Amino acid sequence: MHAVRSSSGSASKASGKKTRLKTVKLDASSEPPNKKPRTVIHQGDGRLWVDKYEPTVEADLAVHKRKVEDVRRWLSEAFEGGPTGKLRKYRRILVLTGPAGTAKTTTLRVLAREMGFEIVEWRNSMSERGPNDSWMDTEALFDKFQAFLTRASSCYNIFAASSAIASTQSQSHTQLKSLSEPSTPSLPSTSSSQLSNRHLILLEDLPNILHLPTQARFHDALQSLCGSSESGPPVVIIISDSGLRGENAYNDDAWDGAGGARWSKKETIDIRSLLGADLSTSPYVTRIAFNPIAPTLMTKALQAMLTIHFASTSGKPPAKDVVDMIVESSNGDIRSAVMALEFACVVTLTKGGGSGKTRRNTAGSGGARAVLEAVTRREQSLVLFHLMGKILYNKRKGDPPATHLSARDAAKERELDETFVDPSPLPDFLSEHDRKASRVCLETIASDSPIDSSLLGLYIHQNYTMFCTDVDQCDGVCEGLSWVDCVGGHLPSTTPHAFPTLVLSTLHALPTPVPRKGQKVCKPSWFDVRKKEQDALEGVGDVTTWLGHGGASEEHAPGRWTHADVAVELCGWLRAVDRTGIAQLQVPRAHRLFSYLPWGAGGVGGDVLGEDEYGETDDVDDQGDIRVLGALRDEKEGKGWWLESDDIEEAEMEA
Amino acid sequence: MASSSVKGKAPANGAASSGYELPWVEKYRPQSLDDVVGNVDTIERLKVIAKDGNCPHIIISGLPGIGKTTSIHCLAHQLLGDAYKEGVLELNASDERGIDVVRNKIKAFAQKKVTLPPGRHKIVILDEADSMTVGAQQALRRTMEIYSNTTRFCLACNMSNKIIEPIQSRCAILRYAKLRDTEILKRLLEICEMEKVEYNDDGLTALIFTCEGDMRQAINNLQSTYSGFGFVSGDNVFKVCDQPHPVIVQSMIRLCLKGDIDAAMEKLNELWEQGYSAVDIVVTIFRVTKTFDELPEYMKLEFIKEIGFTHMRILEGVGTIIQLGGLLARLCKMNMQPTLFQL
Repeated sequence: MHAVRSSSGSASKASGKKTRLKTVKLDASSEPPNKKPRTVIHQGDGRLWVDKYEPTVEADLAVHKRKVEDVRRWLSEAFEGGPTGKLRKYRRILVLTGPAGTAKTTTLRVLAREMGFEIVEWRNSMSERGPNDSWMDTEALFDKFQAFLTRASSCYNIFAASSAIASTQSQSHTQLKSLSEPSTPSLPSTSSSQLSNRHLILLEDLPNILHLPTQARFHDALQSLCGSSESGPPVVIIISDSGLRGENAYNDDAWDGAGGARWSKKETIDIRSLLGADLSTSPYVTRIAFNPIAPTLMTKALQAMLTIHFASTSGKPPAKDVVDMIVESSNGDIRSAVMALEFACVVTLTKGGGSGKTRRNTAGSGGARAVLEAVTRREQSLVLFHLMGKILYNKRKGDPPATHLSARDAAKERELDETFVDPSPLPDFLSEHDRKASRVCLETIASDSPIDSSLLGLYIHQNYTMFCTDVDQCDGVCEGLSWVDCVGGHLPSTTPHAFPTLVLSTLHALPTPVPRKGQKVCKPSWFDVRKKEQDALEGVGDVTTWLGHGGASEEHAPGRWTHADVAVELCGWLRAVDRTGIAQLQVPRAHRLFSYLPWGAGGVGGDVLGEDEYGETDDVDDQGDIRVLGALRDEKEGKGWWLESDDIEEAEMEA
Repeated sequence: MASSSVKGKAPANGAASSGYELPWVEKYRPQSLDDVVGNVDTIERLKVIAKDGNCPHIIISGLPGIGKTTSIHCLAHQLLGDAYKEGVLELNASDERGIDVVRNKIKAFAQKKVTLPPGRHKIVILDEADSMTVGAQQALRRTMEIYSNTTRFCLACNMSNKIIEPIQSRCAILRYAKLRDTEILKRLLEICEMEKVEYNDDGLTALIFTCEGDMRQAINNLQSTYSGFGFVSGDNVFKVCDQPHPVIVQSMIRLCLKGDIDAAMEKLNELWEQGYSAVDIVVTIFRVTKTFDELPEYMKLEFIKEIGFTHMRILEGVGTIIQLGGLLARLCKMNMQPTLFQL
């Protein structure tokens, strides 16, 4: 069934709803609403923490306050029209974007609860009569979607509180199942019928946008929604953008070194493919981009969750450093952090807990760390850190122990050295290439590596200069990188030459030992650059569309302007127009993404690996096109803390 | 090759003794998490989950043959016990898993009522999840969330980055590391014990060399060698696996280090006349080089570069012995006085 439902919860509400549905069917009125939370928790031991401890009030949200405020303002404008009352017309579609696990849906639900409106959600399903029913469902899925949209926008919930029963009995293809809020104690029940008029349509489970005809129809449907009356409910679309974190950046088949931004276009759902060029620049659409959750906020949220959890169950909460580690490796994704935390709490960390020391290199938490690594490893996590440290510090047999090492560790190192066999010397004409035996084991490094060779190459390329002492060494590293690009690029990605070549050539070229100058391993700036490139490309697309439609004087006829033309030749004119402010031209603002290219000194260095690159300093939302500002704002991102170089060394030692 | 010979030979051999003989991979597939080899820490956690219930959504990623599917199966069996048949929906790449399946079959399963012990959930196992289309994964994402109170998802995949981020975010991601040689060896010895296989150390070394950390392959090769020859020795293993014998390749590389091109070419001809293709030979050369301890670091690097270059040419279609000869010549030249080449 494609249930259309309203509720105040989110993920958890799935479960909440399930239980509620069941009870509703049996006897809707027998259960007092405010009892529900308790029963849920009682029987909810089988639920995931993500659901169980979902925030219900704004204070619990780990989202930055300003973001919540943005959404709230939009919603209130959509319902009430803002201070002048005229904004309502333009608050038709809100698109929430952001990486997965940044509490987009949850924010909306929390606000629904606080502001007292209903969320009517679309869900795809092929047959609502159950899979065993032989009766063929002749209505195409998209028709249902369309029917849903029209009905949801024109129909109101007339049975306020008791509608749940009515809807379960209903046989219509598109049911408007409104389980009105029994669980919101803050709402006086008398007002519920009035409040239920305030609802919004949530589109999260989208129709198959990757299918082009469907996409076109989807655009039309949305378009008509915008154009029509003002009275319909606002629509909220939630998209998790992928790839921006850089984890999916390389599709093996797509990586040809020069493919540019176009490779992923077909495979991903982004705001452009979702809304179409027209709509995404139209004033009816607002986009609010959620950022990855800041570590401070996430730590706070996780700690709060642990407090609640261990208040009701026996057992010992994990040590603080465990939480820190999870936060660190979660990469701003709070849902996965909670998942990892739950997994980590499955066993009380007897080894890690209770040591009482916060330094991470205590022997005890080493064990915890090993476990957590297995759980939370993602591309940018600590393992990558180990890997880069190992390669870039290029330790070899007989190196003097680093100054920060304890005597015991130094002894261990010497012991380790004993096990290395000295390599047989090279012929004398190659003697300059003689090196001592490396402490890095190629085999283990390859099998433990969380990233593939192309990503490793990126990381090395970003960082190698800091570790070299002269130009020849840089040349050596580059030589290796270039070989891998040139030859490795022609090999299918499954051939294993690239990884060992990269590691060996880097090790070979780097000085030994690498002088310690407090180097910090950075994340490749390639990701940022690529994101900028994509944004700029979108901007070009917008302008091209505008040339086709809007300012349409004769010489701007479509077809005469290629993307390259627009980007290279038109940008000066666009800037001039922008400066003089000729309003009637209505140039899309997105052109600033490519016509203003400020020198960004910050763009070169990239972010320090493991650093929180998601500062909270970025919210300067003025009125107007939030999307453009959002993109232009990137350079201002604050730099957070970075890991001490000690940590890298530690990491090496452990592995 | 290896697996096909298993299918071909194992039943034939078994028919004489005891009717149908299962492939050993199936026969000795671990039944409980205790038996799963490797990745101790992660499996330790899974065991606790198996005991206590409340399994989160998990993604297990890792190379083929390291026990991903096996541990998910073990987990499901231990969680659900007798209710396994009813409480588990398993879909792998051979099943249809388009958007409609996600919307219908998986959803219907998630809605199905199954009586399970308290604290247990239905489990949907999606094997080789990285082969699902993006659309299907998108469709899956909401389903996972909505039914998470009754149904948990276990995904196995080779590359976790082929799974879309929203799904990654909903799961605990467990990355299985490659199995160590000692871990594979231990399991092979156990099986040899139980099957009364005769072997020598050389044979086991060969099995481990050829399997490259893939337990399934190791066991398959063991069985095929045993059923084909009755004795697991190095030579037999390489015959079964149909790979150039690494010992020959190794001596070839050693000769290159000395700059003895004639002898090296002789070895190469020997391999070539056994009928190995250029790809087979170059891959073996690479693998031997990578693990060859006698090579100094610089030599190893330069050798790998040359081998990669030749590999590329071979893949472009010039799989002739001339390419391999050229490779050897370049390797030899690297080890000869540069002055010798000056006019």
